[in-house]
Amino acid sequence: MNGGRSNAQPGVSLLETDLRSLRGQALLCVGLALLPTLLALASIWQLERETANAVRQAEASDSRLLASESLMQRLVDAETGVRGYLATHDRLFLDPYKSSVLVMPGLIEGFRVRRLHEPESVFAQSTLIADESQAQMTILGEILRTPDGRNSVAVPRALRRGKVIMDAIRRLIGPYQSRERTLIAERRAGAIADRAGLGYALAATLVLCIAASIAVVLFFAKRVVGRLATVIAKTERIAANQEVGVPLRGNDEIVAVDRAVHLMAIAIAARNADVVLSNESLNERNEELSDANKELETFSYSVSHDLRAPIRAIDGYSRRLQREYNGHLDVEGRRLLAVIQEEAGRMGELIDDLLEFSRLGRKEMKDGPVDMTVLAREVAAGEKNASGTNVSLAVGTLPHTRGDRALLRQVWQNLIANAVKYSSTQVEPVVTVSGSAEGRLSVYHVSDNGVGFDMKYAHKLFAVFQRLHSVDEFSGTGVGLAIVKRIVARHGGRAWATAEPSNGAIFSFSLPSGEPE
Amino acid sequence: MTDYEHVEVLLVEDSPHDAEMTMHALSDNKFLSKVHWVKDGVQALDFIGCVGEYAQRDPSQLPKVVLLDLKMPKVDGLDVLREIKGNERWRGIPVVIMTSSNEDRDVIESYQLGTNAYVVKPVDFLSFTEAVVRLGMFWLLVNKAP
Repeated sequence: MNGGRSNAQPGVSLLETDLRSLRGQALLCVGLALLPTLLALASIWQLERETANAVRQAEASDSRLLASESLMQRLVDAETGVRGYLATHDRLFLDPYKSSVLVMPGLIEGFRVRRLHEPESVFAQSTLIADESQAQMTILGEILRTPDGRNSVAVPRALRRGKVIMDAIRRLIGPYQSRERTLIAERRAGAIADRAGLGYALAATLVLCIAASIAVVLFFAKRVVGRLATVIAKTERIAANQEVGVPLRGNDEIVAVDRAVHLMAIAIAARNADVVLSNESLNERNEELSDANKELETFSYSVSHDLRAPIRAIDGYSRRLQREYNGHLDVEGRRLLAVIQEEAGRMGELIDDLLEFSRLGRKEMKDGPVDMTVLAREVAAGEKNASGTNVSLAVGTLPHTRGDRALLRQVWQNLIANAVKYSSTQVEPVVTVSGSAEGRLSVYHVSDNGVGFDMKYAHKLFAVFQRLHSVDEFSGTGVGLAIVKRIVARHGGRAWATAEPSNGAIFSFSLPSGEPE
Repeated sequence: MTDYEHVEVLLVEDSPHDAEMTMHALSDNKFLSKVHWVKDGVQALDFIGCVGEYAQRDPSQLPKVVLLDLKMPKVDGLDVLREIKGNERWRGIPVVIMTSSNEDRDVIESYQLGTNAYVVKPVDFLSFTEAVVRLGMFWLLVNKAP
């Protein structure tokens, strides 16, 4: 089962808002600004209520005044009606009396009800008026019920009593009415004063509201804008790779942003340190590489020097032997010497080719547009002359490329010389140079109708000193294609070959396109 | 007692066989009597400066040409070249670098130091002989020394 209530989500309840947060402070400020407004509204409401009360009381007094006037009128009507009837015995005179009888109980009852806040003395007067009025109506009723009323002695006595009561009522009702009139005037005046107070209260509320709003805005501007500027300055310092500074204190949203900025600064510093580290290791690697390169250079330098000297001696001494001791040697002796010289020569070639190959890896490369058609045609013409064969050598139009012209010349040299060499055993040797632009690459082919090779050895073709034919069949050291591969690779290209035994070979290489963009 | 006064060619070469072949090639063309062979840079400088072993030599008699190998123990060819070309009295001596190295940096540095020629020794003996003979002919017979 879930244990207890989950923690309040932020911003769900006003009561759970942290007053240290900006949100909490904003709410607090709005609350403080609203408080005087609420107070003012409450007092306005109170005033309004009092005014309404006063008006109601004034209205009540009005109706009491009206009621007293009406009571007096009805009493007079009733008495006058009875006197008229007694004088004439015409029942028409009784009509005012009859209508008074209908209305009077209600009017009298009204005077027996005590009104709110009515002083005891006033209520006593009001009750007295009701009692006297009741008594008068009873007397009038008795007079009319007396048989043969005009001649009875009882009637004048009753009329006399009624006159006394009427006088008493008149004495009571005069002050009563004037008091009500005074009350009405007082209450009207009070209501007017209350209304004026209401206007003042409204004006005061408005002023308070405006003042509180301005205070809130100023407080927030100072509290928020000032610290935001501090945080912005920090981000600018981070961008400029400077120290961030001291974290802000507190617990609101700006402090949270500030904290995030500090965390970011730490992360950036860590990453910078990583970059420095990896740069250092890169530098170390570079140094190692350049050390290795230097070692290689030293090595090839030694090879160039120390390997050549013995070969020169072998060749030189065998030649002196051949020349100076020719008479002491038979045919076999001379053949052996010739073999020594031949092999020494081959060793020299191998060393030269190896050095050439190693130099290619280290040589600075030039870069420029190269017209491969012109270059391949120059090389082809030279090779045809050098070979002294009847080879048919055709160079098509080739796409341009970029690179080191001298190195690319060597590529053509090696490939065309190879093609001429390996097709030289044919009756009609044919070598064709072609090329095409393929997307961002220029691809070139040198094909011949020579001896070809088995594709299962293709992977060995471009390795140093790898040959697919014996020296007896075709001369060479096996470095030419390795040089081609290295030059092409240094230009960002690729070299490959396809062939069939006795059916010619196609050597191809790709280079970055050099067409003007 | 060696007669140093007729020396016209100073051969500085650490390989005895290369030295022998060089002298052999020159001998065929009658330059032999005028060649003196030293095995390293120290001896070469001693010879030219007439110190140590060569103290009795006449310092005014300078060789007509120095054939100088580059790779030698102790003081190497470039050091010898630097000494010769840095010395006011010796600067005029023609120096021909004869080496197995055809490394670009050797060629460039030699010429920067003021060598008069740079020859890569051919591996093939016949070419080698031909090169040496031509050198001898040029520097001893054709060239006009100061």
